[in-house]
Amino acid sequence: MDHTQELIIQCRSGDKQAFGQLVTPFIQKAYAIAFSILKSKESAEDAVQNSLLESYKNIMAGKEFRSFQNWFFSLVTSRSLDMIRRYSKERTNTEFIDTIDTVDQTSMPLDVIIEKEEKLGLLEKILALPNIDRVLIILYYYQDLSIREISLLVNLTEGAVKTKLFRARNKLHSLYKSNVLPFKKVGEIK
Amino acid sequence: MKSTKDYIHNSLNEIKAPESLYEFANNVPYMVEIEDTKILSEQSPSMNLQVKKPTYPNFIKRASSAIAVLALIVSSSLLLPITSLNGVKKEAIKEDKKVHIETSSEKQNPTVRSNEVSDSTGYSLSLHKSTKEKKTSPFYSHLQLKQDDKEQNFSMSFKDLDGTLNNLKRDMNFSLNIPDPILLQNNLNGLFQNQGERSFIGPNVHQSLVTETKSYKPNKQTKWENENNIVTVEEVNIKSSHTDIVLSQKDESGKESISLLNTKIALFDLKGNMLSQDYKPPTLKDNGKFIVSFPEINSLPDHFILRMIQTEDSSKNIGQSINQYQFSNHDSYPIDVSGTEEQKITIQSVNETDSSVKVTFEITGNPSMQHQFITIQDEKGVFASPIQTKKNIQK
Repeated sequence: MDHTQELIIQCRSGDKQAFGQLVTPFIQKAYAIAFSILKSKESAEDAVQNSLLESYKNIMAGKEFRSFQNWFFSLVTSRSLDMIRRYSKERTNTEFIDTIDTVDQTSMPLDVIIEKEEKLGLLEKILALPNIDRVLIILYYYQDLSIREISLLVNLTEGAVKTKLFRARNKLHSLYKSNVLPFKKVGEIK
Repeated sequence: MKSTKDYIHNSLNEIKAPESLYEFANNVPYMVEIEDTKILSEQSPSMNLQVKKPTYPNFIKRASSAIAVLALIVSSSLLLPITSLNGVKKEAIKEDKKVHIETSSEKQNPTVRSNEVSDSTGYSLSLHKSTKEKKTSPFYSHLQLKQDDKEQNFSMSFKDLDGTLNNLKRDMNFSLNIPDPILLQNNLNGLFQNQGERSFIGPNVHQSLVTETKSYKPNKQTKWENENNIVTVEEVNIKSSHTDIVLSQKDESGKESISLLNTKIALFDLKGNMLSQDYKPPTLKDNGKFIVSFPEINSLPDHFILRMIQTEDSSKNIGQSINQYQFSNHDSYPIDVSGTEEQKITIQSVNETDSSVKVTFEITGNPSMQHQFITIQDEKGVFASPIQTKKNIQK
């Protein structure tokens, strides 16, 4: 029995600390998923919080998980998509800077700074994509979901997902080429 | 060489989750428990029993851990020995017995289910609306007692006749005969948050549960004088399990006796709403007095009316209304009506007839000339002065 399963059993037996131990390793990625979809700190927190509550209730109701981690990320994604569907307008990216880890870069080696800038630059481009493109990129590349799994989440046919994902990649590529960063390392996107 | 996936992973991993989320995660079990309690207490009265998908307002979600833990302690103290699984089903274990209290999300009716019951004799369940509700609605619930052959469970369900069933905890009143009423009461208290009126009588602990008997005597004793006979309502005894009305019949010698056999009795509030489930006939006891019992009544409002009707057909309630008696909680005299150390007035009794009201009261303390001018005023503003005074001077 793996550790995750043990913690789930402990939760059901009334150990209230077990749930925190169970989900803590996944919170970082869950929040990243929610934020990259919603582009809002507050909404992302809401999505994750609701998912945490829902997870606990599912655990206590006896739900069986093949992979709790994957199920939890799918839940966060689903809740985030629910929220984004309610938004009539796309949110601006004003909260982006507040969300990243701000560290005094003057004490960092140059290559570390460059790498960080590179990551942030790409993140900025991803967040600049239109909703559906951004969501597909995140689901496919960050959550490692299959085309079929994505099609179920976003209510599109597998063919439509493939087409839109292809276009999303091209848009990201174009954005990157058009560019802000001096170092264009990412020249090729599969 | 890094792939696109690696770049995107690295990029999105730069997004840092706020610390509050980790704190929130640790508090989720406490919040869900609190939320369950809240939802349960809201759902129980409604008994719509539709599974309400809970929403979590930000103020709840952002509650600090300290508040969450504190609230948990408070809620735990209310829940008695009950563990909540999903807010709909509750189970308690005590002395190797289990009692399940279920409010089904699919059925409209609440169900009380008990297993591990050793003695099935004398089981009964009645459910009726509380005193308050009776004032506005005379409808009552029917009960069913079933035995599940496979699980040896007793399932008792009840249905509200008026179809509303909207406020179980406020409007319903349980009377249950089970061997372990305390345990069931604990469960119901947990389920309905100590609200509503419930009484439980088990064959083994019946005596211990009857803690107090309230006796009412009519403060307006209108005697039923049918020609040569007088029927008097002596008292109304309200116990924790039921209400008894004691009647006596006085026959003057040489005159024909009247019968109470075709007489039925019911209790009403002052607005005329029936408090008992139906009119009921009195039965003759060994002591020569008649008693009619209303097991569904274990509390009464401050003022209530007893009505008697006489009908030729005992199966019908249509008949000639023959008398009514008014009761109030003020029958338990003496009542202190003034409270200074120097002067104290105590009403010893009030006897009211159609033509007069006799109020006996006692004044203690320093004699005063003012006592000569004492008057009594009723609710309608009618004054009365004492017609007779007795002075007892303590030596």
